Amino acid sequence: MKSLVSFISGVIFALGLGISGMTRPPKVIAFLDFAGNWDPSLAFVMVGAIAVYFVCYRLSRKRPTPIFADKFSVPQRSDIDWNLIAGAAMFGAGWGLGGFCPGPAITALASGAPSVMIFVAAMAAGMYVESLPGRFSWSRTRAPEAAYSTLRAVRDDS
Amino acid sequence: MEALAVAGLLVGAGTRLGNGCTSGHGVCGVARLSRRSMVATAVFMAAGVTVVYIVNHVLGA
Repeated sequence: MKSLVSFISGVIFALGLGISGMTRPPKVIAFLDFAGNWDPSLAFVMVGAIAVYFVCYRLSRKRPTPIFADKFSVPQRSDIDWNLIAGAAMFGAGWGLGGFCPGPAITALASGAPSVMIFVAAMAAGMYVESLPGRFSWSRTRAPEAAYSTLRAVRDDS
Repeated sequence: MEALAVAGLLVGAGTRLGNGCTSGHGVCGVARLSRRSMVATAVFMAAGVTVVYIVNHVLGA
């Protein structure tokens, strides 16, 4: 049952990304092109998703425990460190350059387009390099966890 | 193709270093009103807009 719910969640997420245009780099780049032919439509996707999760998150927290897990795992940190700023800046630069962020890129793999495969392979390499001890990190020590880095980065631990 | 590879490297390393992407920080974090996620979202939006400006309006014509 848990696997089925996970699968259905993935299908809904992928459908949302595909229908809204998040999986199409030209549309994402037009969304970021304030000085050119700006296409604001993806802002509605983000605001719409935030609105849904804003309500659902609060409803879900009324339960003592999740339905399919022993406990909620919600990020607790609130400190603003240089890793957060530099990581977000690097990610934003790559997003503007390629037009893909991680979720839509993995979704777009289904198209089989070579450009998507190059992007995802480079993304996996970037995640691996960042996970090596002593690379890039300004302030944090971390356990060897490259194996599940792909899954972790799509979530958030803010 | 080279640009896509560089973009992928930046997205991969950046999302790990910054602990999140458009889904994690931009949707889930902002909806939880997380301070870190709101800062990260502002930074990655600004970086994306800046890079697209440079590529489309400074380098390209």
